[in-house]
Formats: sequence, C-alpha cells, structure tokens
Amino acid sequence: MQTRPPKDTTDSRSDLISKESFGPAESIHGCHVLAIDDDPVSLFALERHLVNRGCRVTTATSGQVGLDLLTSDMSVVLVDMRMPGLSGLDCLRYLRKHHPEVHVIIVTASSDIECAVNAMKEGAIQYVTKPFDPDSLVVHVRKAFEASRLSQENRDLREAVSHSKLPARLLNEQSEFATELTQSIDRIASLDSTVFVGGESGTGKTTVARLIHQSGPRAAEPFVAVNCASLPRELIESELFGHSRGAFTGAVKDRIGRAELANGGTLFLDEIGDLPIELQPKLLTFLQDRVIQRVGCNIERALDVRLIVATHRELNIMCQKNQFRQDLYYRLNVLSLYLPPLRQRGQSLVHIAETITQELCRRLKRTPVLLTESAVDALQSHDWPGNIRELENVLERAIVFAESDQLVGTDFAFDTLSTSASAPSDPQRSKSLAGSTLEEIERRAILETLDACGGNRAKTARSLGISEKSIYNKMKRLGIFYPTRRKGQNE
Amino acid sequence: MSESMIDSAALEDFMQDDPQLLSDLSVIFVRNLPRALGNLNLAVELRDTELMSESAHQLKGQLTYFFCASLVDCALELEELARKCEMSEAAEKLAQLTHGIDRLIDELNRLTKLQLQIVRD
Repeated sequence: MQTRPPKDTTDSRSDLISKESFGPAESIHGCHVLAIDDDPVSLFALERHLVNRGCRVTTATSGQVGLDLLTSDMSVVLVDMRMPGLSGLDCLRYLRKHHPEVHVIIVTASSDIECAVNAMKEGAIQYVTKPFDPDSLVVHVRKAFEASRLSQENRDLREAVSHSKLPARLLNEQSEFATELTQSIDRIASLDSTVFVGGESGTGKTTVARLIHQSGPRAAEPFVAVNCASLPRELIESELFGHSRGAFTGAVKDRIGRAELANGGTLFLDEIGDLPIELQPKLLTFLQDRVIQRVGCNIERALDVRLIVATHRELNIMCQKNQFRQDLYYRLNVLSLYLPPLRQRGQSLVHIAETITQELCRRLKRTPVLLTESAVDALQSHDWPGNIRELENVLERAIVFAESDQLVGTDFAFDTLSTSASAPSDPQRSKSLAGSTLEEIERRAILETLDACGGNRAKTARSLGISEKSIYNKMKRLGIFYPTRRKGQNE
Repeated sequence: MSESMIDSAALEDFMQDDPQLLSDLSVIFVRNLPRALGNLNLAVELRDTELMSESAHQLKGQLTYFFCASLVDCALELEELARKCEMSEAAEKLAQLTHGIDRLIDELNRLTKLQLQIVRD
C-alpha cells in the first residue's frame, strides 16, 4: 500500500480548545458501548476500533436484539439508521423515552444524511457516516460517554440534595436573624457573582451554600461541594480540576474534576482558607477566565460555574501573614454572608433544637420526643463551640439513649463532647489532665478530635497519628459512641 | 498490472495500526457475499424492487469499508434503479457489480495474503 505523509501535529495554544474536536482521539476507558448494525462488516469495524481504544462493546445485528441486550452500565448506543425491523430511528425513540440517560450516535450511509439530521432533532447526540473516521468516532463516543456520566452525576446530586436535610432549621425560626438571612439568600441567589460565606465551624455554611444554589436559576444543575481541608494536599488539584491518564502515578484513567462536574451549576469550596497557597493561582485563573486544564493535559476547557466559598478562618488576617493570596481574596469576597455562632442567636437556639429533634426522631424511626424545661435550660446554658453540628450530635446521642419520650437536662452529655477545637473559652479545654487516668485522657483526646473532625473517623485517626483500624478498636474498647457524619453534612 | 480499485491511502488510514483488521473485515465480507449477491440475483429475477433496494444498500455499506468507490457507485446505482422501479438495466448493472467484486476479492487477497473466494452455489 502507498503511504501517506504523516499527519501535521503542530500545535498552538490558540486552537487547543478546538483541537479537542479534530485532533487525535484519546482512549476511552470504562465506557460500555452497545453497537447495533445489520451490516456485519460495519459492526465489526465499529467494535474493533472502539475496543482498540479501551471501550467495552456489545454488538447486535438488529434493533430488537440490541434493545434486549441493553444493560444499565451502557452509556452510549451506536445504531445504524436503516435496518429491517426496528430502524435506528425506532431504537432512538425508544431509548429517549425509556433510557434518557443513554446517548445515541447514529451510523448512516452518506446518502442518508438528511435522515441522520432528523434523528439528531429527535435526540441523537451525533451521527457518523460510513465509512466512519475512526478518530472522529472515538471523539464522539468519548463526548457522549462524558455527557452521560455528567447526566448521571447530576441526577445523583439532585437525588442527594432532595434527600438531604433541608435547611429548615436555619430558616424555620421566627427571628430577626432568620428573616435577614432569607432576604440575603434570595437577593444573592438570583445573581451569578462569587459568594463568600464566613462563620465558625458548624454554623450552617454548607446549608446556606446549598440554599443559595437551590433558590437560584442553576437549581436544576449540579451542586458540587468540595472540602478543601479534607483532601490530601497532593490530590487537591486533581480533585478540583481533574487529570489525564498517566498524569501521575496512580492516574490510570482520565478523571473529571469537581469543577467540571459542577458545569452549569454551582461549585462550593468549603474551608477555602485551607487551600494550599501553591494552588491558589490556579483557582485565581479559573475565577478570572472560567477555564480549567486537567492535570497532565494541555486542553483548556471553558466552564460555566458559579462559585461559593466558605471558611471559618479570617482570610484578611491570613492575607496579612502571606498565608492567603490577596488578589484571590478580593476575587472571592464579592458577595459575603456571615453566619453568627449559635451562642449569639438567643432564643432561636430552642427553635433550632426542636426542629432538629423532630428530624432526628423521623430519621431514627422513633416516637417524637419533647424537650422539657430542664432540657431547654441545659441547652441554653451551654456555649456551643461546635454550633449546630455539635447541637445535632448532642441531641442525637440524647435521643438514641433516651428511655422516655421526654428529654431532660441530664440526658445531654456535654462534659466530654463540648470540647471543639474552635472553643477556646470552653472550660473543658482548660481542665487539668493531672489526676486523670490514662484511659480517661485517651478517651477525652479521641472525643475532642472526633468533634474537631466532625465525626470523621479517618481524619480523626490521621490527626491522632494512628491508623483508622486503631481508632475503631479504641472507640470500641473505651465504649465511645459517636454518631457518624450524615449524608449532606459537609462542613 | 491493472490499476487498483482501492483507495489504499484511505484504507490504510482507516485500518490505523491494526494489521489484522483488514483481514478480519475481508473474511466477514466474503463470508456474507453469497447471501448478498443471492438476494440481488433473486430480486432482479423476480423484479422485486424492495428486496433489490435493501440488498444493494447493505452491500454498498459494506463496500464503503474497502474504499472502492467504483463498486460503491455501482451498488448505489442498483439501489436507485430499484427505488425508481427501473428494472430494465438492473441485470446488466448487477453483472458489472459481481465482476467488480471478484476483482476486489483478488485485491484483498493480495493485500492480506489470504486466499478468499466466494462460495457460489
């Protein structure tokens, strides 16, 4: 055979985005494709090229057989337009109706392009003509796969949001604070500007971020939360912006970052004050240009994402100490909300406690319990250094161990659990360890660290310098019951 | 030596770096030819335009993967004759197509070092 001159591989930064469409296709791993074509040559060629690029392919020689073979892990269907029995259009209509999460690419003869265009009007994501260009085919399949994966993640997130605790506890109180907060959220939600939420740990920053998202025009799109403090330093960039296969040891496949997952919706960066300083310029670039690059990949991807950030730290002071970039601080601090600690909310503490108690009883499937006067007194006399999160934990423990349907002051165990790291005024923290047994000290250290880590066992173990297995063993040995962090509770 | 029917550069591009692909596709193509050509002969004999259109369309689709434009055009003409119900030239066009396919198989055998042949009844 004659040989062709090698393809031009010159590159320029200006066309990096468009090169994604026309350049050599990447591998696709983890994608299960269903290929339907009554032409055995075409079917074999489709299968071979996709398998060579890492896809898993199931083939069918008729529409009916293909639809029978459809499984839940298939995200892309390639279907020939013209087949006896069920045509490609019939298959497309069926899939759009019953499996909207599946993306369909039409395969057609060049003489049938008009039909293929009509198929796209009916929901096909793309079409290819026979003989297809293998590189274009792979690009189309990869895009369809990514779109399918994003749709799935959007659905998962929406489901998670709909099942998560709604922020009733923040707003279902008759207080000036709640009224003002509702008004602020309503105003902020309709805008697209970056929002900065400040306040101590446990004051409801994540909940407010979710509320802003849910109340705004992006509500139907994903809300993706990332806790910058909980991610290993070396993985934050990859977690936020994604990576390409081979970008670093362990990057065995391409991975979409959280920013891309949030495309069209909202990206919530919790504990932004813990973002490593060396990563801050990259976030700044993203804020300025709304463009990201996956780690190990030169392709720039433009995103449409609203950013909400939160921290319990004082970023202005961090800027003075050169621990946080000033230019990033000003970029982030466009619209700001400050959530006061629970101890400053006066009577609303009782309303919040009642709301949480009702929620917990429903979740724990037990008969409703009431807060007696002594219970209210006990709650109000406490400082709540861990704020709403601590209140939830205290109430949950009390409800779990309550022997009647009325909670009294002595049902609450504050003495060991009120020692959050953010509570410098807490008397427990200054209590001398002298005279305590080693077991008591160990118990206290674990409980305090669990509180500081929001109940996260892995993080607690890391903080204490022991393995995760050890923390479970020690908790068991010391009889420590501590509720696990619940879904949707990201702070 | 007669001029090649195949656009070898396009064929090579299509096969990319998979040396076995052309052989595999050739085997599948030749294995399915008796049925495809049988249907076309039957359609011409019975003047069944629907069968002729469907069979010519499918054969045309297969031929596109061998980058043999003259044969793809020939199959397309058969398909259009059937669509227009003009069967008078169909037999002659089918003979032309069959002869061309024989030549294509010879070329494929040369390229793949296979010894493929149509199993005719």
